[in-house]
Amino acid sequence: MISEIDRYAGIVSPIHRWDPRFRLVSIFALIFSVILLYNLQLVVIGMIFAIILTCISKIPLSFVLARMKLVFIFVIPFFVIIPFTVIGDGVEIVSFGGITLSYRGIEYVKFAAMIVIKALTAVMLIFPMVGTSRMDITIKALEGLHLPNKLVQMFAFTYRYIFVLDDEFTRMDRSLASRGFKRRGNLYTLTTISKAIAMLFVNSYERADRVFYAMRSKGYSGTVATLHEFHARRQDWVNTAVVAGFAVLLQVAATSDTFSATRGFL
Amino acid sequence: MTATAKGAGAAITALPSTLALRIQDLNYTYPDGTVALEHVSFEIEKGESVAIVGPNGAGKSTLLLHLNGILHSKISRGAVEILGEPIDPKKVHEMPKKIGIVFQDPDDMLFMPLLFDDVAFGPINLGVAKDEVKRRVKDSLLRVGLAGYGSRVSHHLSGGEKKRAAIATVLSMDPEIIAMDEPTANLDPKSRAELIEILKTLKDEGKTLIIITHDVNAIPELADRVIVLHKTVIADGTTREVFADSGMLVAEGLDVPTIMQFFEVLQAFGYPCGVLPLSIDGAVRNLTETIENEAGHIHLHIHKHTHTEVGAVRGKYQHHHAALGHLE
Repeated sequence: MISEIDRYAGIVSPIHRWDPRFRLVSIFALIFSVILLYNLQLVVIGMIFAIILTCISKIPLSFVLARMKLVFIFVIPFFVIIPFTVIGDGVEIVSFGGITLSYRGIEYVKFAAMIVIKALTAVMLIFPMVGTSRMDITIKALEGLHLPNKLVQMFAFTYRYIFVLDDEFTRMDRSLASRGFKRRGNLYTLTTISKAIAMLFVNSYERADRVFYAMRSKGYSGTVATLHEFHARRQDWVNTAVVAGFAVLLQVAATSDTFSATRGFL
Repeated sequence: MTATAKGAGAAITALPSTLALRIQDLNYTYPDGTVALEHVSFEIEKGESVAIVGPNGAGKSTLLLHLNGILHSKISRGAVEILGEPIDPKKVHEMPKKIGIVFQDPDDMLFMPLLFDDVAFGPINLGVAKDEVKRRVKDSLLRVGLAGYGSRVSHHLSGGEKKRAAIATVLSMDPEIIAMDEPTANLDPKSRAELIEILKTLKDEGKTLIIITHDVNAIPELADRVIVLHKTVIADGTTREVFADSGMLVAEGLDVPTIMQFFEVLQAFGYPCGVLPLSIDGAVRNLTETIENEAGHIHLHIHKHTHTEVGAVRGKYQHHHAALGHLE
């Protein structure tokens, strides 16, 4: 069973109290601001801010870190790839069939670190952004922000069908296991798994159809049905000013001389 | 194939305003070419409670999806009329005011974070005011015996609770007609009994019920009328009329209630029984009457034809002989 990102939506914190519409826009702006940075120091500052926000939201750090592990595994190879593959006047180590392995020095390790921290910061910010209210309310907030309805629906169904896929996979996995199937490193395992995945998509498609039928039968016409109503208070604007202001500040700092020294990596 | 005389179905010549559902020559072929429904026609009056039976793959669930326009085809445009109006496939989302459909798998129906949201989903879509939505959710949960379950997470409920929750999500929309796909399937005896009670209450409240089921023992309690469907309408009549035609039912791979079979066996032992009871209640009445008529006791005996007669009754309802005969 996939654990939902909104598992801790029920706890109380300043971030939870923040109007989801404002929260989504502010933190989204912050994510973009961090991604657009090309300065290690500023990225680290962004990271610290992200950690502070996550702590304020009271979402357990273990929950956040467990989910960031996957992203970390995905970005960690950059430490190895970037210092040796960036084209330029580095020290050539070996050239093989058009692929050149060269070493360009320690700054590129820093560059790799910057990319890794940027990625981790962006992912971490997702938790205070969408992990602090129930998914249907987040989706309602997207609607409240006048996002095109097609996009909102795509988002809603993508989220909903993750669980359909997961359910179907669990069922199939149990069915395979109960008939003595064990994953090994052979061709039989591969063909079985690939067939199972093909069936997974067929089953999920049909299941998704039925869920959609049920939604239609209950009057679904494209708008999110939740009783939740948004009321912006002064505190919502203050929070927005702080977070969105910080996002702007990072960009302003990036253009100043103090931090622009390391700009222009690429 | 024997077709039972159209009882209730044909007898209705009443004013259109009393009609809940009218299906006239409904045809449906799946995109892969499988014919699911052929020339299906019947009418259901308001307040009627109708069981639809038929073997697996007979098109029962497909028929159900036609009742609010989710499935539709060009050849059968306008074939289904609900409360006097033909269904417009473009207005499926407006149908729940008239007809609520309970799907076979409750997991398909429970898709919101909390049970409250699932039950509130329908009325919110129908534009019901906020306070009224809350009242309806509370009321619907109460009616299915899940009072106070609003803050539960749907996928952590038991199978029986899920089935009842799925019904609550439809009750909250307060439709005139409720159509259900195998409401009593896959339930333990207690959950099944609870569900039958809920359905009986709905029937007594005057809701029009359409119940697809394989649970023949539950039908006498729930339905006044039975339609046998196998791509087309094979038989349509009162519950008693349809169950009387056991030959047709067995040929369709269906059954009659166990109680009915048992009283047929009793007949072979000399029990005087003109009309076979369909349910336990009926059996109690039947036995009481018979004993009173026979001066305080009933008399069973074995004569030389008893075994042949019992054999004949049992043979009549044994499906596997026909199905697996070639293996023997």
